[in-house]
Amino acid sequence: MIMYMVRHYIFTLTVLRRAKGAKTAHVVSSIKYEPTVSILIPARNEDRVIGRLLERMNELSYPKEKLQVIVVDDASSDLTGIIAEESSKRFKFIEVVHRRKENGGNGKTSAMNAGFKHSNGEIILCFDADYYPQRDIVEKLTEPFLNPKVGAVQGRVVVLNEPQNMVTRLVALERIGGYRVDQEARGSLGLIAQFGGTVGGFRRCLLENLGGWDETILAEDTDLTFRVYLAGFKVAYVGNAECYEEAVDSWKAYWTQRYRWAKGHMQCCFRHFGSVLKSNNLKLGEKIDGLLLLNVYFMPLIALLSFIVGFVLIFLKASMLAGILWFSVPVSFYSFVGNFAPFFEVGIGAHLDGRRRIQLLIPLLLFTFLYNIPICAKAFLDLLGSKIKGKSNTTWAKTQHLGSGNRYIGNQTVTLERTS
Amino acid sequence: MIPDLLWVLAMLGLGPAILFLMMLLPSFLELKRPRDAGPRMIMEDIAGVTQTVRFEISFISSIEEEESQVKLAPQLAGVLSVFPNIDV
Repeated sequence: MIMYMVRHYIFTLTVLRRAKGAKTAHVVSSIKYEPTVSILIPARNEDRVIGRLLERMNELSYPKEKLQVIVVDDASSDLTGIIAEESSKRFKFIEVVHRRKENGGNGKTSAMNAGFKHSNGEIILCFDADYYPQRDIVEKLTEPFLNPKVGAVQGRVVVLNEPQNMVTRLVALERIGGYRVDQEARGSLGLIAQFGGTVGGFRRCLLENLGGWDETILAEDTDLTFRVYLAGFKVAYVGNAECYEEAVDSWKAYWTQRYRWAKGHMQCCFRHFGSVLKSNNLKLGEKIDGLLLLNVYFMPLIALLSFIVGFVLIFLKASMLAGILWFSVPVSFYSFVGNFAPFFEVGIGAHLDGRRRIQLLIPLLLFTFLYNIPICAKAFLDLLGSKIKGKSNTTWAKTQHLGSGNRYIGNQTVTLERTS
Repeated sequence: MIPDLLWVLAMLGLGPAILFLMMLLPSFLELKRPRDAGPRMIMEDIAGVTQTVRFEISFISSIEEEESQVKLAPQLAGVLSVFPNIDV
């Protein structure tokens, strides 16, 4: 817990210091690097959002002759395939891979692998169907590959449907903390910048060597992040490569998404913990950060455990245990207060984005933190149960996208105060 | 040694209630009447719009300037004609 708190403060202060320095220092790359790029878009029943993304693909400023956009229609039962086909007829650089029920519908990783087989670009980028990127995002995401040590890149995700309700506003806050501070600090400190599964990509040769996406794991992004680092490459975080996403808009959808993340992350922890410790390709700082990253979804469990222990001890009639009570109370308390460090991180992220009013919502993150406790507990118990029973853990629960973000695209009036 | 149950329950109830009220009131006010509901405009759009607007403004103003010069030229010539010719 203490390590996580310290880490959060280090990250936050690093980004703050960097932001001050950035006001005077501007680095502009003069080298023009335009490799061939394949963009993979896995889509299953995304007819409410896929059209706007494909239109946006046509608006990208990257040369179209070097661009290949592959929509993987993953056994959709709605109009996704038809919309993609229509776009493909209009724009030559868009191709559609249709997967029928017999060979498709097995989750995002499976669809990504199908798209990857079809691709031919030197760089492979990925976007979810509900995303809406900047016009110059491909240029920004490909530039770090000039460095031969960079095996993967990750851009920044911004919540599009933020005004919709309380859930989307809180998810937006989490995203601010996660990308504006966490990822940026990791990148600048040379730690484990995380590939987030979308708005990012890989060097083709590396992805081929790694064997593509692992279809047996739920957090395929975290898994690939660690495989990239263990192979001796880095993930570069590009903070100014921004892309809108449509966030989950109900507590139920939040549960489903975070449950998948928690379970997948725990799978990754069991898989990579030993390899990270033993790896010769990782520096000490990367190892420590990597281990903290792998264990992050166990923290709500520890908080829950200490809370239960403290609560039980209050009602135990044993004088010897009373001493332990006074020990467990601060531990329980710390489990919550210590976790305010991420809230500090979110606050600084919002400040750096020039969004002062949204900082008022930060105390509400306490609810999402508490909500994550049963989510992580269930994920852990289910994972444990399936390990004991020897069952597979990879039932993919897809996040529904209803196109609620459509109304905000192109609406200049919702622009907010921001800093560069 | 064991704290009184009522006292514990009162503290467990009252403490968090006061803390929550103090902590969450501004949040609920912002939720109720958002002054910053988002979404944040992504950087490229702002740069693009700004550049486009600037370009258009400078382009239009240069055209207007030229047009006004064309219109003003005969008028100025007329005004200047009343002055004596000082060319040597």
